[in-house]
Amino acid sequence: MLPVALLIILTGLLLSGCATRLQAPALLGDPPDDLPRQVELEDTPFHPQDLYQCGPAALATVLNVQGIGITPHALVSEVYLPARQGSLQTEMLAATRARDLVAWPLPPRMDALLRELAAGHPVVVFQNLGLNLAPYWHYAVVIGYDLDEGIVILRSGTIERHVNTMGRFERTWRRAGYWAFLAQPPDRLPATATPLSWLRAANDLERTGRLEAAAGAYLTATRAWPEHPVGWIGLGNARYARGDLEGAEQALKELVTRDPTSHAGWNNLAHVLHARGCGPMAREAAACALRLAPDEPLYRRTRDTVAPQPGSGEECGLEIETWPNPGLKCPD
Amino acid sequence: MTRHPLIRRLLTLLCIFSLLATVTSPIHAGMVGTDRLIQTEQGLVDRAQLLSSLERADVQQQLARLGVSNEEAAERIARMTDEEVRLINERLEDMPAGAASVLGVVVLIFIVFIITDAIGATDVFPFVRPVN
Repeated sequence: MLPVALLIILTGLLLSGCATRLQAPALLGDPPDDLPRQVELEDTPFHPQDLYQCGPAALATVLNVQGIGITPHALVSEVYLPARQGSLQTEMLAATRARDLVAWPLPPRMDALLRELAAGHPVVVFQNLGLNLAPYWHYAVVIGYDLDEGIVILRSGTIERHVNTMGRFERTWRRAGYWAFLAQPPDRLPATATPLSWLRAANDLERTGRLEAAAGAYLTATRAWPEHPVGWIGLGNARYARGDLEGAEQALKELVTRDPTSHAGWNNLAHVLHARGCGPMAREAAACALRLAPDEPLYRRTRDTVAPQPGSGEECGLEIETWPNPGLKCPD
Repeated sequence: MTRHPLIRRLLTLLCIFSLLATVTSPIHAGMVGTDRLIQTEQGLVDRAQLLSSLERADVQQQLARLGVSNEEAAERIARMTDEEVRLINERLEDMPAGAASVLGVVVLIFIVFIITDAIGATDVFPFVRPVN
């Protein structure tokens, strides 16, 4: 029994999060050379919050920056819970996506925050202005910083230009789990985006039915990281879901041309070709997926789906001579 | 309005289904979903990241002091689920780089050994008896 008790105590100590150290001192002591010394996004609008409604105010601020004319008042019904006197983080993200913007969660790092500001992106941050035991939750928008002065500048609550020392700000941000996000147009990558973080945000748009924005965000991913297969699949799937079969086919063909071993690419291409009525080509693509991954039950299903239906006249919009495309070959 | 209860019920169901249809992405059931691929990719990235932390000389030193070889640790990571790897990485990200955090990394891996020992999956530490 003793080891189990020890285990519980040790895990508890680790999970309590008492070990994290402030990042600001190191960042101020030795800031990256490529980071500007000062940034202030002065054009960021300001909405003084009413009562506890910092969530709607912060959200309206960043939506305005993206050219969406909305007031905090109009957002109250979407992101404000009267009983909780606050806004849930998930609802802040959902309201952003509902405007066809990519709600991109920032990595929990001070340097990422500063880099986004340097790239001209104001950041919505979640803070705990109180103590861990008596939290006072708050949303604000960080609009600038000054490395020489060691400060960050926020649009916060009823203060249009709230200046905080970097260490003090980080403590309030850390107490809220370093939670922050950007509201980005689908064609504009955050400065600190990694392929997977951006793709996940694009996928959130796809899964909530914002297909046009999702396709746009995936397209951006394929331009920034053409070697990454998931961006192409996402682009193909989102276009297919919108009924843009030609566009879907183009994206998936691009993927299997770049990486002929992408069985998921071949599989999905089979469905797109099938939907276009291009039976023989669909069967070839399906066979290729199955040859690359013989144990995948999904691909067996695809093979059955695209199998010839007796009596159905298949009419394919493609010229049969162009298939197989010279650059498009199933690897042996 | 339709008064027949059965028809009304059917209409309600139809409304619910049409709502559901707009929520889920309307790709074909046989297509590979983007979310699934992202999950797989993330699992690979997480694992690579954790394994690369074992390459660090300071981490290896700490592991050696605990009597765990680098290979054993790598093997453990290979046997963990994606979820477990993700949890460990999350904790690692919380810890800023530096001498103090190395101990945290090692202690964490150490704890994972204890957990997997306790559930009977491994037998790294003889003093931990499986709970079942």
